[in-house]
Amino acid sequence: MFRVHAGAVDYAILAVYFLVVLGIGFAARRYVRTGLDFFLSGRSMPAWITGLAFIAANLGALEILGLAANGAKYGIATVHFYWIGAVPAMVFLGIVMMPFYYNSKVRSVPEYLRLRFNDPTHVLNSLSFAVATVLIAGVNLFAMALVIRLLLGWPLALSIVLAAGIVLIYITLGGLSSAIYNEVLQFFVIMAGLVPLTLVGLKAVGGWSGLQDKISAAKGLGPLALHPWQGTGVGGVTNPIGANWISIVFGLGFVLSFGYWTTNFAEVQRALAAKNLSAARRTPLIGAFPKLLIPFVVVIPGLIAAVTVQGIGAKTGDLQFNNAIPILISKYLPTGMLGIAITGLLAAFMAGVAANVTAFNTVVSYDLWQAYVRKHEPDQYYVRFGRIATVVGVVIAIGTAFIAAGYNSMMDYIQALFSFFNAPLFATFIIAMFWRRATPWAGFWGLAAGTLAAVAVHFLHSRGPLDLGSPLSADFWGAVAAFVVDAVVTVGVSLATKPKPDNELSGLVWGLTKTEDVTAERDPAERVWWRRPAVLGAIALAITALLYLVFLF
Amino acid sequence: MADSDPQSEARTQIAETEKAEAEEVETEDRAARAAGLFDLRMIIGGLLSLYGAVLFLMGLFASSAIRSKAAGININLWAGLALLIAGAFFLTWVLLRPLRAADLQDADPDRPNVE
Repeated sequence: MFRVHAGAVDYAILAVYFLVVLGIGFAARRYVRTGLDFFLSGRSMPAWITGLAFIAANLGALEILGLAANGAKYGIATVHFYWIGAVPAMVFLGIVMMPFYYNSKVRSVPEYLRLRFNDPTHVLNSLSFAVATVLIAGVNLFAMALVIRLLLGWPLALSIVLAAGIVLIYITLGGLSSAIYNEVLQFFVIMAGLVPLTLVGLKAVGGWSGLQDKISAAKGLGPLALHPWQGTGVGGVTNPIGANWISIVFGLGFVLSFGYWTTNFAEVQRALAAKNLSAARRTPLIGAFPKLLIPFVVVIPGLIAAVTVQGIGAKTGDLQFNNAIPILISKYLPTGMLGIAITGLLAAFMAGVAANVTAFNTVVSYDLWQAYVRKHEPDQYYVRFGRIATVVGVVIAIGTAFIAAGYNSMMDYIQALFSFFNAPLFATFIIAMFWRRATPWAGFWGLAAGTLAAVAVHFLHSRGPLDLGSPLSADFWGAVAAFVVDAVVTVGVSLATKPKPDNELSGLVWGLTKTEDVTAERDPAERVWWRRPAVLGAIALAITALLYLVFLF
Repeated sequence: MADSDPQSEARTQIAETEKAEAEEVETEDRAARAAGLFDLRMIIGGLLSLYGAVLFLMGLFASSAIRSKAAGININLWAGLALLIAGAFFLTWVLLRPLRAADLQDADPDRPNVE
């Protein structure tokens, strides 16, 4: 129904992109010699590259399809995912948490837990992370294949194997460097597709005021769908998002988003690839600026689709909310722009797969294989192992994608699964970094209890006994529960067990870590005001506040 | 005793990785490869310019049917123009500030050690 008439030019645009992506892989291969080169780009990247890669890594299927779908379903309140969620969390990561990650020289996020707590905590987190990332990679592949089938009519297997094959080649060759370079390139191509799409869509609905009129009149959305905060009062939620402001601020903002952006290794890995602490801290801060504006090209198209596409919002089939952006592409873009937009979508989904695969191969190689199986092999051994882990990861992801094809709501399950591990993790990290008294076993039991709490809330809600409003609202409350239970158990177990001596916590805990950057003090170029993390962070937060103010009226 | 402490083993493993990298960074070969490494800005600039030129040309010859599909906007023309400008920005940046081998080498040697 939404099959496009792609011309030779459109396919040529796509083919050129594939060639460039593979070319980057081959070029980056010449640079990869050591384990650090392969897994962390030799810690050599400038901040603007890691900053763009930081947000591009997340700009995959779940964001482009999922948040446009939320826009179509819940309205403007979807911006909370960006402005109360991602941006403050990214600022917090850059200003507060990055010195602990970067200065301790850990090679992954789970490795921080290994140093700070003990092996059981580390194994629990490494395993759950490895499983979750490879599943997310598979879901990305599947979502991409669905979109390509919708637009170009390709069989699912063809696009899954083609996209996975390309990702496999460029990561096996060039490791994290080629993943990061391709993410930056992908960022520009997806923007080249989404910005014109949004402008054309807006013109078609009569501009911003035309869109407002149509949203107000639309059933299921209505005037409140134009306001992020109105109708989110406790006890009387009338906003389509179906969650009150407390669960938005604490559940979505403080716990879910902070948990995701500050502890998900697929994100943090990009910052660890930066060339020095100062660049690592600026990575999420630089990323915050484009991130502020992404809702304009993701959520707004969702709204446009809600009022221009007849019958959107079907439970199954082509008219699901998830297809909001692909449907607009097929509806409004002529050949030429069409090629750019399809290439952008494919690029975004491939980068989403690649980001998860690079995080997966690092955790499997260093946190599982080196930590517990073959402990002191030469550096080259782990590079070879990492390449094999990449192949295995991609193959499992392909398998997941085919399984996902058999289950309609596979995507929801996996997102829920991911949130079970992410939400408590943030509590564990905050306590780990700021309370030196937190003991090794407290890390393990806090994490385990927090995860169980999230699982419990999820099933109590979905099976009926506990009514928490919309599924989205239930997720927010589940996150809050996970955070609180994790924090309480971590503190409780800490008080009952023996802490580590201070000398073992140096570089890992506040008060025992040098947070200022040696490079920044020595190099005058690093000292200019616009490179200071606090200044960058403050500006990002100020713009966020300003954007919210604009939408208050 | 050091062997039984999981934390000290982790620190040893991290140090081994850092050592392999430090040895590699010191080699002449590394500097040569770094100098020959492609400049990402060039690739972004080149690809955006190419896409921009293609769209712009298509926009010049756009029929009215094509325009009416995109709500009356000659989207290929305008998007092509914007891409050409974006591409030119990156290529100018490369010309004004070429990549030096030193840019890839300045991972900070004075970074405080964990030990």
